[in-house]
Amino acid sequence: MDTADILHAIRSGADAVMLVGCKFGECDYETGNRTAKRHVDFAKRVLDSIGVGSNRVEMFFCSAAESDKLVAAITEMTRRVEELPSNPLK
Amino acid sequence: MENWHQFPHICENIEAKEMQENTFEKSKLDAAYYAVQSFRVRCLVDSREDILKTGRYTEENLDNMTMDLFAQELHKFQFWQKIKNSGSMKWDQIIAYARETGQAVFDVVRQAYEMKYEGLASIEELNGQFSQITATAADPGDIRPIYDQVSKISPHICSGCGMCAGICPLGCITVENGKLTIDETKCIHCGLCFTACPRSFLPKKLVDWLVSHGEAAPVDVQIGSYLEALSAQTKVPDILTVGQDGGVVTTLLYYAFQAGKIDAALGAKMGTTLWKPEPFIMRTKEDAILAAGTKYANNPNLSALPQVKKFSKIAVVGTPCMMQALRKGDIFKLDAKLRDQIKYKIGIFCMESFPYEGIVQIAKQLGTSIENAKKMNINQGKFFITNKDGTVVQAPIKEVTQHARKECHYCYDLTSESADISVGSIGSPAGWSSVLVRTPAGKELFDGALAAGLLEVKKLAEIQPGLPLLVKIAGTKSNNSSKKVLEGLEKKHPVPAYK
Ligand SMILES: Cc1cc2nc3c(=O)[nH]c(=O)nc-3n(C[C@H](O)[C@H](O)[C@H](O)COP(=O)(O)OP(=O)(O)OC[C@H]3O[C@@H](n4cnc5c(N)ncnc54)[C@H](O)[C@@H]3O)c2cc1C
Ligand code: SF4
Ligand code: SF4
Ligand code: SF4
Repeated sequence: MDTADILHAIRSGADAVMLVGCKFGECDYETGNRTAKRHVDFAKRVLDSIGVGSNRVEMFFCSAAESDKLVAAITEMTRRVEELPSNPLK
Repeated sequence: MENWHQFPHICENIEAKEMQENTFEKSKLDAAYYAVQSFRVRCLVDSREDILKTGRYTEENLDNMTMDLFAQELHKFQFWQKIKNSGSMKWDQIIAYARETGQAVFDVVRQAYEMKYEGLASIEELNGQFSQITATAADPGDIRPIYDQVSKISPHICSGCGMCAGICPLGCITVENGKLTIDETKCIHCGLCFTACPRSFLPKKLVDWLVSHGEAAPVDVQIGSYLEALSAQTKVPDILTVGQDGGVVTTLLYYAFQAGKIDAALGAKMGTTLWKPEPFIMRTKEDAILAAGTKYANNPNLSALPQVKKFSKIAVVGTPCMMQALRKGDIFKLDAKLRDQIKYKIGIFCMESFPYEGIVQIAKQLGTSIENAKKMNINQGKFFITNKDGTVVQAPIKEVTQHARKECHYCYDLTSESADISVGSIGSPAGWSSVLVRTPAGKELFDGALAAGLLEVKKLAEIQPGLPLLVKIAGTKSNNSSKKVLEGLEKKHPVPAYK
C-alpha cells in the first residue's frame, strides 16, 4: 500500500479512503502498518495541497479483538462521507 | 515573438491561491497520481525515519522538501498533460499557460527542462531563444529516470564541489581530495545527489535568467551576467598582508560579520595537512582572516552545508562549480529553507584546481616543498610559490598543468557566473582583485563594504589589462570545455548537460 493507491482510489471516484491496520508492534508484517501510516500522512498533505482535502483519508489502528474500535472507525468514515460533497469523478 | 529573457516577473514568487476544499479535478488528480510515484518523492517518504535518524534534516525540513519535490513533479505532469493534449506548445502559449495557472514563467520553463532531461518532451530553440516544446513520451511510464545516484557520472566529470555530500539525506557520501565514495549499505537511491550536482545537468540559460533577474542586467556569453565590473583592494591592513590578491573576499566577509549581515560563512582554510584545504565555518570577522589566501587543492566546501544549516544568515565562498551547485538548488528548489538562509554566494574565479598530490608535485618541480611554501598563486600564465624565507620560485602554467584535475576540463565557468558577486585576479594589477557584481544581493554587500570605508575601488574598464583579458581567458576556458564535452559524447562517456 502506498500513496499512489490512495490517489488512484480518489481519481477513480472514491469519496474517501479508509485504512485499517494493526497496532504498532502487533503487525504480522512487522513494519507494514508503519509504512502505511507514513504514506497516509503523506497522502493527507498531498490531498490538502491539491484541494481535495485531507479528511478524505484516514488510518485506524485496532487489534483483532477490538471490534468496537473497528465499528467506531467505520461509523466515523461513513459520517464524513455523508457530510462531504460526493466525488464527481465516479 | 517576445524575447524569452524579457520577463521581469519571472523571479517573482506567485503566492499559491487559497485552495478551495473538495475540488476534484481529473487532470490534477492524474498528475498527483504520477507525481507521488516519482521515485525521488517516494524515496523520501519511504525512508523518512532513517533520514530523520541521521539528524541531517529536521522533521519540518524534510517534510517541506518532500512537499516541494512533490509540487514540482505535480506541476511538471500537469504541464506535460497540457502539452500532450495539444502535441506541442509555442512560447506565447507557454506564457499564457503560466498566467492561467498562476505560476511564474520561470517555474514553467524549469518544468520544460525537467521534461527534456527525462525524455518526456523536447525543447526547440530559434536563434538561441526558447521557441516551442513538444511532448515526446506518450506515457509517464516512458520517463528516462534521471534521478540516479551521482556515482554514475562522478568518476569522470566530478568537480569536487561537495554538494552531493552536503545534500544526501542519509549522509552516505564523502568527498575527499576531489573524489567521492558512497556507502552503498546506506544509500536509498533517492537521486537527490544527482539532482543537486552541477555536473549531471545544469541548464545554463536558467542560471543566466536567475542571475540577471530576467535580464534586468545584460548577459555576457563569456563571463555571465553582471551589474558592475570593478577592481578593488582592501583597506584593512590585517587583510592586505594575508589576502590572495586584493583581499576582497575576506573584506566582504569581514564587513558582513561586522554589520551583522551574516552569522556564519562557509569557506576553506588550510587543513591539518599543509596545503590540503578543509571546509571551514567562520563565525567572526577574525575567522574570515584565517580563511584568507587561495589553496589550489580541491576542497569540497559544500559538503559542510549540513553543519552550517543551524545558522540563519549565511555567506558561502567557493569556486564556480560550487556557485553552480548552489544556483542549481535555486533553480530546482532543493531545500528551500537552506536557500533562504544563504544570503550571499561569493564566487571566486577558477581556471582549474589540483589534487593535493598535484600541489606536492608542483612544489617539488619548482625546487621547493609544501613545507617551505608561504603563498601560491597563478598569475600571468605562471605558477608562483613564495617561500617562507621570501624567495619566489615560478614555472609557466604549461609546465605544471599536467598536475591539474582532469575532471576540471569539463568546466566552462571561469568567473563564477552563478554567484552574487565574483572575485578573481585576472584583469587586475598585482595586489588588486577583479570584481564582478552580479545580483542585487552582491551589490548590497559590496556597496556596504565600500561605504564602511573598507575597500578601495576602480572601474575595471579604466585599468589594464582589464575586462578584455578576462573575457578572452573566460572564452578559452568555455571553448575547451565545449570541446571536451563533444569528445566525451563521441566516446560515449558521461558528460555534463549544460543545455
Ligand atoms: C582552485 C582555485 C583556482 C583559482 N584559479 C584562478 C584563476 O585561474 N584566475 C583567477 O583570476 N583567480 C583564480 N582563483 C581565485 C584567486 O586565487 C583568489 O581567490 C581571488 O582572486 C580572490 O582573491 P582575494 O584576495 O579577494 O581572496 P582572499 O581575501 O584571500 O579570500 C580567499 C577566499 O577563498 C576561499 N578559498 C581558498 N581556497 C579555496 C578552495 N580551494 N576552495 C574554495 N574556497 C577557497 C577562502 O575561504 C577565502 O575566503 C582561484 C582560486 C582557487 C581556489
Ligand atoms: S547517495 Fe545519492 S541516491 Fe544515495 S541516498 Fe544519498 S543522495 Fe540519495
Ligand atoms: S560535482 Fe559536486 S555534486 Fe557532483 S559528484 Fe562531484 S562533488 Fe558531488
Ligand atoms: S575548474 Fe571548475 S570544476 Fe574545477 S575546481 Fe574550478 S570551478 Fe570547480
